[in-house]
Amino acid sequence: MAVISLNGARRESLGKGGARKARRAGHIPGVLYGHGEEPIPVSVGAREFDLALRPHKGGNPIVSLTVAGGEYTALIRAVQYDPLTHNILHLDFQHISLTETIEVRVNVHLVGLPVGVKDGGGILEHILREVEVKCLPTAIPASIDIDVSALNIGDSVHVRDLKVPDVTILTELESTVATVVPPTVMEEKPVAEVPTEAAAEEPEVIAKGKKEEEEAAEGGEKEKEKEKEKERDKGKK
Amino acid sequence: MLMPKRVKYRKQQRGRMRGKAHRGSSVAFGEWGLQAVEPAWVTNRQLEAARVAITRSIKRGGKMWIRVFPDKSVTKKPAETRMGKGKGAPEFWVAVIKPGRVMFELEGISRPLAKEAMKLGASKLPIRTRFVERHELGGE
Repeated sequence: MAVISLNGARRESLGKGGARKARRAGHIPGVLYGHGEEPIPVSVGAREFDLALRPHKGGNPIVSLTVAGGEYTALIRAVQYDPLTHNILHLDFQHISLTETIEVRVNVHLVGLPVGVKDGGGILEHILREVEVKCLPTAIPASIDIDVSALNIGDSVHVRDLKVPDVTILTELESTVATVVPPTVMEEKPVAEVPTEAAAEEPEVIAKGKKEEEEAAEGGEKEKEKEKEKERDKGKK
Repeated sequence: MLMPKRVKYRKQQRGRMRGKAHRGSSVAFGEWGLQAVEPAWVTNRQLEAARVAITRSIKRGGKMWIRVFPDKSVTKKPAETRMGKGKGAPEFWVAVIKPGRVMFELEGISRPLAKEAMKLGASKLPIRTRFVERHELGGE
């Protein structure tokens, strides 16, 4: 796995105000931590980060981050996105050593179209999309590919079927990665009669006693109102 | 139609829909999603209509998830009623949707099929939506 070079700067203004200021200036705020060192608040250029990461495939990119005169080898551990624009809001850089093993999550990609889907009309369900692995940072695979073309309806592949060199898989070996299930038969039911009373559609209220009391109280009030109205009508006449 | 089985209180205050949906804003279960870009109350009828449109479109392939639930009751006063005399009776249920919320997800079908299905489902909803897919860091 190639190490991506990045230039960062130490962030002086902290907190959400400082982070927003950095974003307005076209930077991505982040933090560099790990290896028992004091965390360093950093910022990297958004455009530079985008261009540097473009050729990278898969998760877990390793960067060589230059901050305040020092050079740190770091793993991008977490990325926060804006829910609407999908712009990167914050980055977590974990300082690592290239000679020490680390635990990371790697994507599992399914390759091929299963026989059960092609001929049997089944549905391929991708259950486990990531597996946790332990390996040297240089040996982190971009993704773990598994061939599913031989799967028939009812067959599945498990974590134990994944073959990755130089990597120890930490996820439970019996976990299912993907399975082919039979197609769901869609039954077109005749349109059910719409209940006319709204009360029939109301859910149960947890405190039952209270509901009855409320209704009783409401009923009592209504009777009083009716009496008052009658009195008023009599007065008018 | 979707509605809670049991509730603690029958009637609720209306509340506000400020900000974006920070939770439930990424595709988590399937491969494709339908994301809201506007805030709205989406009723259980609208959700059901969208669900039916999507399942009919994908016919017998793929798997669908509904990521929202209408757990807020909306009351209405009867017609030609004078003001006062308390809050009206619960009429329907809504899901409070904020911009960014992924409402439906699909898996096991091709991208064009999923996009078409989501388009049909989106036409049953009272808000603008967009088709989204799983997001990975890098140029993949």
